[in-house]
Amino acid sequence: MRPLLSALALAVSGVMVGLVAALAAGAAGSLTPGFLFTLPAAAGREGGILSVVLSTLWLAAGALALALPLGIGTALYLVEYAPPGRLVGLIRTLTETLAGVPSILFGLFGFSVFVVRLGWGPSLLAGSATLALMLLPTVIRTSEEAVAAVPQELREGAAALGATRWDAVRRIVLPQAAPGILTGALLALGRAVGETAAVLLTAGTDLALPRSPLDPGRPMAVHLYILAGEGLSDGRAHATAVALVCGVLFVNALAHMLLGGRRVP
Amino acid sequence: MREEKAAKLATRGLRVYYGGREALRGVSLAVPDRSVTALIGPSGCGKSTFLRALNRMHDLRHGVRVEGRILLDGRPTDRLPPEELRRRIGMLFQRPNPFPMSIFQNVAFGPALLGVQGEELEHIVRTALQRAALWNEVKGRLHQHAGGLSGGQQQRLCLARALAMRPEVLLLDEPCSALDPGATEQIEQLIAELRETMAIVLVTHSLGQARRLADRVAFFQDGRLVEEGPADEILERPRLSETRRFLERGDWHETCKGNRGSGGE
Repeated sequence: MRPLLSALALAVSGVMVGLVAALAAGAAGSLTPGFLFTLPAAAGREGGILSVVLSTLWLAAGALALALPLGIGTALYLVEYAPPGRLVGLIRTLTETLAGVPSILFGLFGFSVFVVRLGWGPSLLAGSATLALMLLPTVIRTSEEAVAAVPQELREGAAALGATRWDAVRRIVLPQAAPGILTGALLALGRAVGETAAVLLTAGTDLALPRSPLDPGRPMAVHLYILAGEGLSDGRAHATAVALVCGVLFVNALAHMLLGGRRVP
Repeated sequence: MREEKAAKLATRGLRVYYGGREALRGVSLAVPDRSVTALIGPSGCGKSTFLRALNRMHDLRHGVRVEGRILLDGRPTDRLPPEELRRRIGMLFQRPNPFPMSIFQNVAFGPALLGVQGEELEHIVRTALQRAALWNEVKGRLHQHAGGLSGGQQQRLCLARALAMRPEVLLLDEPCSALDPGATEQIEQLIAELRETMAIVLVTHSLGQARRLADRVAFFQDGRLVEEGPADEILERPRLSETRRFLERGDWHETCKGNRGSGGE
């Protein structure tokens, strides 16, 4: 049985390597050193992906800026303040459900609420807000675990000195939980960078450099979808894909380094 | 043998419920100032539960209910904010629980919460470390991490941390149970010195420790205060048969096994 299984494992690894190799082969010729730092031209047929990369980074940063305070705050409430009971159970069930919702549904929700109802139009802000909702479960879960892992003895020690619960959270719990929270943030960032469906309907597809949060911008995943789908430039679609894979790999590697060998939740 | 003094701390019909279980069944006890009151009794008898009620540590846990009155200097404490009460009543735990920060920051933690800083803070930290007989060992490395200290040093650091608040009462929850004989001796010597300046309540599993330190002894069993009085009377000539039976059993650690680290019994 063992040779068969190891052959299987090898085949799976081969598929992974083959996937990246195929992307790289398709990108050959288009993936020049200047590709990342040149603005696209002729609807993406020519030039690079500078505005696309910047839009992606803005979207991811905006999503984290919204999701982190909300997520960490929720996690702190659940672990430090909430009495055990129905409310906590309800919040947990809701976040877990949220984690299982296909991302295109977030996209549709973001479109009808942020883009249309709130009148933000297709924009980095609407895209970030939509992404933030999608990332919340990850941020809440990882922050909750990090906060809960801080030993109770430390909270008691602080309380015994006359510290309020918030004093203990601020001065002891949060600094102790920070690496775990950061890891969760990076995992979320990896997802945000590669996400397509949630931003397809909300961030817009404009190729110009975005100048404000209310400007539309085209994220990388959407860019390669359009390039390939409309047959604009196969080589540049592949080159964008390679850049995207490298970005996500980099962020995930950083998260794994911080996790220090623990498994990704 | 000391004269009985006016009670520094007193309880009237103190009851504690864990969920529906009554863990402390109406305890009235007076703790005189400038003396050591030792709480003895078998495992799960309510000693730690009683101790943790005195500085309202039970407030930190959900599902714990406390009834009855606690008087500090003859005045009821129920209208004091718990933080203020805990500043006046310090506590040392079974296992040393230094904060994951520097030696200096550990001792400065409490005063810094009150806004003390600069030279005044340094003076408080130094005095507290001296009173805890730790100054000479750490004065050259105040800004190193507290985790580098030995177990005995860590417990003395926690004592210094408590003393930095200039408490009027000190609660000691088996403070030597995690220490080796040498470190135990140091802590006991400090307790004997501190007795001159404050009221001390000591939960102990060691008959020898009670003999060496206690001015008064209170024997707890099944959540009740069975008998209480001057140390030599209770330890040598107990009036009640329950107390006698407990003292004659001899091996305290055997009878009290299973209580380690539970923190709630």
